[in-house]
Amino acid sequence: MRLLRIALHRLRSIFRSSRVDADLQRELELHFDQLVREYREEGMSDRDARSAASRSFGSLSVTEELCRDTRRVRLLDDLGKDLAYAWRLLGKSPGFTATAVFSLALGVGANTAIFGLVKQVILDLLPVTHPEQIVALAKSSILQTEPGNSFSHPFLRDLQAAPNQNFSGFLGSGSLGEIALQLESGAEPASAEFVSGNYFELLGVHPALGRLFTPNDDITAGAHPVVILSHPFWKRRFGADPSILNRTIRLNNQPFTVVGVSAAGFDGLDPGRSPDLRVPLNMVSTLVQFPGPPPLTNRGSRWIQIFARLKPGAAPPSAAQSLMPMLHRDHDEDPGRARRTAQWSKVLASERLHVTPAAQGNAGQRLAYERAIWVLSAIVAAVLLLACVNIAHLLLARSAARTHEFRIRLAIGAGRFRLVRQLLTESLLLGLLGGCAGLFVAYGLGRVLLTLAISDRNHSTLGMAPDAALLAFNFAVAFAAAIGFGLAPALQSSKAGLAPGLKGAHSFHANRFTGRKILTSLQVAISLVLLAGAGLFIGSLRNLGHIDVGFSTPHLLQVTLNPSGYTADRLPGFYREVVDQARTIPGVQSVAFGRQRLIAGRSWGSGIVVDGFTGSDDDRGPNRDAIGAGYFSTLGIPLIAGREFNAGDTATSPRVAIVNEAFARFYFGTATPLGRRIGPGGGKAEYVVVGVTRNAKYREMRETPVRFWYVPFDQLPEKGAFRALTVFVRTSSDPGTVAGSLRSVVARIDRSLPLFDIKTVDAQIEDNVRLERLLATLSIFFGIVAALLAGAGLFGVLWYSVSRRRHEIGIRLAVGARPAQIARALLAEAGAFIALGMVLGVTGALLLSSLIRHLLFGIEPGDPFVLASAAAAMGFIALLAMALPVSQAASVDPASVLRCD
Amino acid sequence: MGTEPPDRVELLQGTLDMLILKTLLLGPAHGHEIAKHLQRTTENVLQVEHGSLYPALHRLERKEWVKSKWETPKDRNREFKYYRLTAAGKKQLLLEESRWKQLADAIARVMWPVKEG
Repeated sequence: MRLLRIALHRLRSIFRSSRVDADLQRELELHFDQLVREYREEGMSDRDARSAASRSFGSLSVTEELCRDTRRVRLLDDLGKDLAYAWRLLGKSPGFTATAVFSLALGVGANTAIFGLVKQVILDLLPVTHPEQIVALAKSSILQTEPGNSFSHPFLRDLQAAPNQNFSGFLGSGSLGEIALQLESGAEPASAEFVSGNYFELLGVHPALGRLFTPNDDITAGAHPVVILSHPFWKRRFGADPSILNRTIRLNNQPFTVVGVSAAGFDGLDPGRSPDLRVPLNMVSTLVQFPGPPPLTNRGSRWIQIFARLKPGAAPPSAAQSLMPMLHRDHDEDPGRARRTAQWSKVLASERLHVTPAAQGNAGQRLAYERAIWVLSAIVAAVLLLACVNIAHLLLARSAARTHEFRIRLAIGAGRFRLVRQLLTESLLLGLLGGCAGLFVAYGLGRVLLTLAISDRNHSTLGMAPDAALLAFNFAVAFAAAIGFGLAPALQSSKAGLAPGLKGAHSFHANRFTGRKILTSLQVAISLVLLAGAGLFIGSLRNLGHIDVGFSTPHLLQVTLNPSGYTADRLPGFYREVVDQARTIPGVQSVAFGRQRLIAGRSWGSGIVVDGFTGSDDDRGPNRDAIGAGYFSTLGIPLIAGREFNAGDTATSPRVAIVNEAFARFYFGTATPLGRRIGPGGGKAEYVVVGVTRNAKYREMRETPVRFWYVPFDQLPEKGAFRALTVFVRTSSDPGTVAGSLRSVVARIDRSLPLFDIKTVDAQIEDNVRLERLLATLSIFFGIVAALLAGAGLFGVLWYSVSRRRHEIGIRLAVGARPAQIARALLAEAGAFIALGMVLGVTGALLLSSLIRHLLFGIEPGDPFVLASAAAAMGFIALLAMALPVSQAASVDPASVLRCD
Repeated sequence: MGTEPPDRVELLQGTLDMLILKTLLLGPAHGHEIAKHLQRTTENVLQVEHGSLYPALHRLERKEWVKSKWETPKDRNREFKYYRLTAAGKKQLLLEESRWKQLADAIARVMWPVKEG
């Protein structure tokens, strides 16, 4: 109780400090007056009485201070006063404050924005129970050295059935692209994920509405038409309407019942992507067509990713080892094992399982961005460093002007520590202001980042929502920066205050500011490195833009249709009708269809048999496509030999194929491929080659020339397995206007069919180089900011140096030096440390750029043109920065300078 | 600053506290009265700087050994801040008194040892 009262007393002291102070003063003054009166009664004069009284009493102010000390709120008191003083001081020099706050805001805000990405893509753990126990299963072999995580359904069932002391459960999930969601309003595409019955239970996810799957929802093939909506999809598409529960919706024309909505914030195990719908694994055949045997029982059909929950204490390597018997059993039970070649058996024997922690979800999307994000983090950290150096220079310049003030304060008894504390408070206040402004910068920059980085806003989980961690980071960085740029000036200024000051003296010793000059050299070096990096990224982007894709990209639309539920013989007629109808749309030049989308990261291969050619068993073979008439002319792929497919190539006419240059060269050498026979792997070579096309890019921009062969869609043996095809539309004007008409054309033919991924090929290509564009844009932006900061720093130091040495310059001019000589001397001096900075920068650029090798395309890290341009740009900015101070030095009027002695 | 008058004796902080408490035992007083009392009773041997009483008084108040109040004495027309001893303060005074006696005894035994025998 007593402690509480003492604490209250202290609190009262803080808040009523002015009243308590007045009280104290009154008490002391009373006492003092008493003493004076007594001495006067003894007969002393007023003056003598007062001095006697003060001898008796002691110093009033010191007593006051000592009394205040007993209240022990001095620290808070002082802090309050320091802040008030600092605030007033900053207000008096708005130019300085604005510059400092702006530079700091830019540096801090940029770091916060990038940290937002780091946090979401790299750091954040999955919102499931005990994410550290979640692991991903992967498999590697001599053929696939990079572990892949695709497994078959029977294998998953084996794992789930056999009790294992290392794991408390296995779950599987598989994504097979988009499916059609049919509502009253029409058909639209939705992304779907197939999951095992124990998916939600094992992860520990709760429903936001209704219920989630249980193992009972995943027992028999095709017998569980239930679907769970993701929370973002529920909000976005159905407005979080609870009446969606237990409604029947049609997926690919099959009825499914909505049994629940998963919890908000849960987006699955693939960070950055949020599927709209989840259905049980056993429903896969109802919704998706697989070529070959049914996927649920086919051990060769690997489309499921397997995750597991480790039991506490289990170690991943031994856990992986304990699963090897299951893998061997999987090999043994594969009905196709009789047909295995010796080579393939060798590959199977080399297969190894890996158990990797997946607390942050599956690695896929992350790794691609991780390197880029680290590079961006380094860039913005460098920018912040440059800003801090500039602010430190500003503070030093300002403090030099306040030496008088410091001397007075030291003289009246403030300790050196007190002075340093005052100066640090000023810096911290700047840090606070910079941090607040930095939040705005972070928000704006964050939005730009997201636009650049994400192609599919609807299904991406990345956002810029304000977050306690981001705020904490923002201000932590701001205050750390404040201490960084404030400490050295504070210490130096308090030292300067202690030095004996001769009034009006001019120091003739070399006022060389060496420390500051070295810092400026470093600034130049850092900016040069950033500019060089930006140059490399821009070069990469340009190289990517200049890739010859092999077909004509402008005004080319591609859209995927998936008439699931159609019988195989209905398909050719359907697509022909779509093509015919699409041709009638005004603005459309030509239409064709094929199976593969262009530059979409997907490929299709089925091995190859070539008459007269025996390849090695571990060669993966060429990629392929099945196309309709007029494909090559619509896409603008030139034929260099033979002919295109035409109306004469039907299901009953002789089988024909077209190959590309790379294919021809690989399998036929210099001989002509026309007339040779080829066929899919494991089949008969019954397709006659009738044409050869130029090489093109099929799967992605950066691929090396790929062997490729085409067959007419009509001549595919099992058309039913390939319902989803892509329609290509070449328009004469903007493709966007045609998209709407295309939608109504398809709707007229069949209302239940949505258009998937309707996108121009140009947009697709842009997506493919999204990362490079992100890096190029941000690095050049920050590179320029850095260069400007360095230039400003350079300007500041030179200007300051000249203004301090005006007297010295005046004397030199008076004794006969010419202004040009002064200017030259100054240029030489400045040039020396700028040159040092450039040398450091070039060296740094050469060393560091090898770190970003993997992010570059078609350009070497040490590219001399880039280095030279960066150096030239930096040199130009340095010259600009030097111009004004040097001309100022040359125009010093010796008479007026010497007169103010 | 000049030399101190030779009669001034340096007082430890704890000792000053004890003297103030004892003074207040006689009745409530304000700072000037306490100072005068100390000077008078010790016949000017103890001449503390009057100002140094106040940090001590405020510290004693914080520890709740004394209470303070602004009062107007009957024979004056001005307010003074009067300090009075609390119950806890009385207990503290007894404690300090016995400690001081122990200290004084110990010093005396060193300075003027009693001869055995």
